[in-house]
Amino acid sequence: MAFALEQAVDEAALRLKVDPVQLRKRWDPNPDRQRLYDWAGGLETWRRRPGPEAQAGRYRRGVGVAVGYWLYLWQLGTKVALAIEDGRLVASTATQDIGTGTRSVIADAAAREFGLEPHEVEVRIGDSKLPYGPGSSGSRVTASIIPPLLIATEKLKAGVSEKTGRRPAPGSNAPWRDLIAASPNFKVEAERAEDNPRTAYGNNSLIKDAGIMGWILGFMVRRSSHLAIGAGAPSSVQVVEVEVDTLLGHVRVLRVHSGIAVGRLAAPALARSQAAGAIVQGLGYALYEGREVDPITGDVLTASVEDYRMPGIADIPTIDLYFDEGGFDHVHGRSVGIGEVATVPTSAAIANAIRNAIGVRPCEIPLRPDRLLGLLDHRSAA
Amino acid sequence: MTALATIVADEATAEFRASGTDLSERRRSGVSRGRLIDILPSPDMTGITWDATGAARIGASTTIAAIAADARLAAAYPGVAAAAGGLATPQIRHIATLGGNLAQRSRCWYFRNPQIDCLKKGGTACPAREGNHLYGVAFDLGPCVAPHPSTMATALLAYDARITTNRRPALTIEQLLGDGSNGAADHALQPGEMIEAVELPPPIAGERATYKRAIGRAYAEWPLVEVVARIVIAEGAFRLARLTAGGIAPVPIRLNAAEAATQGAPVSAATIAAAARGATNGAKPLPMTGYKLDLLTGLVRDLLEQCSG
Repeated sequence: MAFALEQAVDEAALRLKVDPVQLRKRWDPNPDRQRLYDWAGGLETWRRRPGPEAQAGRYRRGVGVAVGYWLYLWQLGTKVALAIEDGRLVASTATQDIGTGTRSVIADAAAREFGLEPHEVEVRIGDSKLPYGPGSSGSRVTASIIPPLLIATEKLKAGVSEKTGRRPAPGSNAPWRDLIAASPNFKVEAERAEDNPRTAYGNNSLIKDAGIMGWILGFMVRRSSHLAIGAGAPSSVQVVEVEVDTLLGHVRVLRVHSGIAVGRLAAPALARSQAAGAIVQGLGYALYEGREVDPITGDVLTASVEDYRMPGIADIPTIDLYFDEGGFDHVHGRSVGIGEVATVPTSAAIANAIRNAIGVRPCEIPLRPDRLLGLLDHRSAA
Repeated sequence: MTALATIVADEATAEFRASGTDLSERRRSGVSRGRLIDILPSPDMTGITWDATGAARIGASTTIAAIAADARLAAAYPGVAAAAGGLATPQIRHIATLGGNLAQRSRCWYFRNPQIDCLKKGGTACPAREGNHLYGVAFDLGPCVAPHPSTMATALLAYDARITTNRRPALTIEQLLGDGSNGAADHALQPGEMIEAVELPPPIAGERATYKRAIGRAYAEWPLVEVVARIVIAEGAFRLARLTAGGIAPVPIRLNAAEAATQGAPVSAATIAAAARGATNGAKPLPMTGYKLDLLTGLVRDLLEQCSG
């Protein structure tokens, strides 16, 4: 949907002869995105973008912008347990790591609170006997587990101080390491609490903005899926520069700037990796990935990575990541999920950049050479 | 005839395995089920040798990477070296052989699917013709619409190379691969017949040549269309132009009309444009493959500009 909607906004800006970043800034009240618009508008890539006049020559350069947001979701009833077992800190919850780094989010956040290294935190997940945890979908995990983890941290610190009769020495490098080592075994548990209902201007819940239908939807999702749709929206703004070879229908993405507002980063190194990966994923479905079927039998013909083409290392552009860590003051710990939002605008930003380069708007992805040549009005695309 | 070939003659269904880059995938999917004969190359099947006229003979078991890296070959036959360096991935080039590249099977996604019957698997019709032939041919020369996958054959066709097998000497690329009218086969080798060497004619002085494939990604993709261009320029005119194309017909093809447009003509944008237009002479695109003709004309223009620049 972002692919279509964000191109429609781009087209509106083009026809109104307005800077697409400024147009969005004018009508979008979300304070987190307002800051991202200022960042995007100040980028060298954006300020030096080619104008709308037609370009000539074989190679044409284009710059495009697109915006994405995602629902801020968290799972009701999520619990996190923290324990000290034989001098080690153990964090556990019945979630799982499907490769998106949930383990690292828990280890990083707990390590930061206790002044430890992440490897000193033992993370137990992937077992439904553990305290009730969230499913791994919809970018809900971080926002579900960080608040109870922080509450459990306070409880555990209080317990350690009480049981060892000491508080960490001021100025100590690793204040809690020695105390945890000296502490007897014990365990605390905390449940995800509701967010603070007082939110900043413009940070309404997206479903409340949708009126009575939104309220009904929110109620149903709470009842059926134990999922809360919170206030505010994880957001991203991406600026993409492409080069189009009009002779051979080839698109090269030269540069991607990705600005992301998901509150405070629970695991900064992981967030960078996920945001960069999201660019690769978005670029993949914008340019290469297509599920081809036999029109008569429906047999999937692109059943291998040879025919289902994904980006290779030489297709990866220069990636510039920017995290605006403000906002989400109503969320305990101020951390929400990054997974989906980081890839939402990529395909639309690439399409807008191609529009800027060749003067024709792409309406279909993946933008393979056959489609590019079709857009350039040689022959109809396959 | 070697002892090896005698064994194979009894095994009509056996396939030779050189490095197995193509075969291993067909074994895993079940498309290839017969016996395998591993090729244990004799010394004269590996490496590049030169005769007194300066002509090269490349053993069939020479790796693609070795062909791409050979400085003397790159000087004498730049189109062959460029094609070798431009195909597949470094990992594949490192183990894949010249003989294996010439004798590999089609990349058609219907042929590679073990659930679907097709001409190359004993079936009676080509499912891609009425089906999804996005990567199919734009020169419709036979019942099968899959393009031939061998980049090295496209390059060797431009050089009038001859193929020696354990049965027959001096086959042309046309004799090795056929004219595209036999949809059941990717090559005309008989059961038990194995490519042993490729012989190139003596190089032409002053030749310039290059290779390029049109693909979606930067590297590592089967060509949508690929072209090898060889030219000799003297006194501002094209004295020789050889243009061959792959990925666009059931066999690699010579672009005769494009060559003719350059013959003796001055090196100019107009001549190059005429050659590019001529490249599609005889083309019969399928409903989904018209774009390949744009790529073909684009490649011919690009390569002729590069070579004459």
